[in-house]
Amino acid sequence: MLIQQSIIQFIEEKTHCPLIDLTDNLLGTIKSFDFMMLMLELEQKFKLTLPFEQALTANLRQIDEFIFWVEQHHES
Amino acid sequence: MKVERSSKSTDKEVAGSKRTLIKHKAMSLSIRFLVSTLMKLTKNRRKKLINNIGKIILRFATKTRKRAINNIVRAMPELSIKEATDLAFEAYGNCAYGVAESFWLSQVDPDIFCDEETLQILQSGTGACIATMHLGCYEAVPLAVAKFANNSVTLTNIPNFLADEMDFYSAVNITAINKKSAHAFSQLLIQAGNNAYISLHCDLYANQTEVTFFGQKTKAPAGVVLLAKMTKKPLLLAYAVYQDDGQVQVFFETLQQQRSEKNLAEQEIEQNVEQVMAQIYQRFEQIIRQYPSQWYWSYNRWKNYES
Repeated sequence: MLIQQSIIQFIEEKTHCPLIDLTDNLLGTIKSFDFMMLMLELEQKFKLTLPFEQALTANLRQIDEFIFWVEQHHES
Repeated sequence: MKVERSSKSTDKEVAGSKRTLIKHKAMSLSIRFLVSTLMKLTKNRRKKLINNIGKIILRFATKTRKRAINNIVRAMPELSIKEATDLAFEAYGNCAYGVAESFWLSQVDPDIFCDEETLQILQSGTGACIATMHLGCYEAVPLAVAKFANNSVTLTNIPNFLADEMDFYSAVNITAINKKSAHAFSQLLIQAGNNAYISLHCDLYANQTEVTFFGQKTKAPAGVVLLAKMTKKPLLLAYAVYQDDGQVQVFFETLQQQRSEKNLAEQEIEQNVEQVMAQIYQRFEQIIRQYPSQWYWSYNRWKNYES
């Protein structure tokens, strides 16, 4: 839940939009530069190592899918 | 009615795509013809000719010329207007040749210079992110990387139809990702995951990280630094310059950051993105001051930071 909040908050800050659609494409919503910032922030905040090369594979393009993917790595 | 309209628009689309295809073929053929004509000249004559064409282009490109002169005066106020103007023309001519050399990269054989540590990184095969600049021969850095490693990757503005058909990147073992492609960033991440050596030009303006460049505040693209941090790869700086005889020299340096696991763990001593970019830009400035006639001065480099 904390991860979800962090990701949503990050995207809201970057897009200046308080209501984001979780089914939107992540890279269509934030810039690639911000995506890298998000990955680094998540790794530092939650002491994670995220396999970055998997982050944008076909089934991880939507924001909700990305959240689920990060949460999975946190749990494991 | 609907069917009819739809079929009309399909016809238009087909005609449009045919026109585009013909246009691409014509452009590709013209460039091939031009390149093959240029290749008949000796290296020195070719360089002189392209250099002069570049200068003529700048004479007619008022906006580009004014911007270059303004940038030079802004960066080096000690120069007179005449000196700045002469430098603008010389640099533009040199850059024209630097760009043109992309079309015959297989014939460019750069001399490579680096320290022992950087050489180890380049030969390790484990990849690195390389901050480079629009100086001398633009594509000489990924070309030099390809001499060491199998996986040299760069971003390009050259349209796919031209790059693929003319084969100038793949012929020298460089993977060029088209910047405008929708999947450019995903491709870049995949390549980084495959231990690629990724060369990115980062001396342009981008609304990302604030830097001081020639004593004045501006912004710069920090993607290369973020990519290095995210992929835990070493960050190098590289540039290519021409010698008087036309020979290209490529210099690689390792940027002193995120060297060890210890540094990575100790966030308080880890340099943040802004600090690394400041380090890169300080070095860029030194290099440009050393080779002012080889840098592309016409970019809108201090955009939104008018003095």
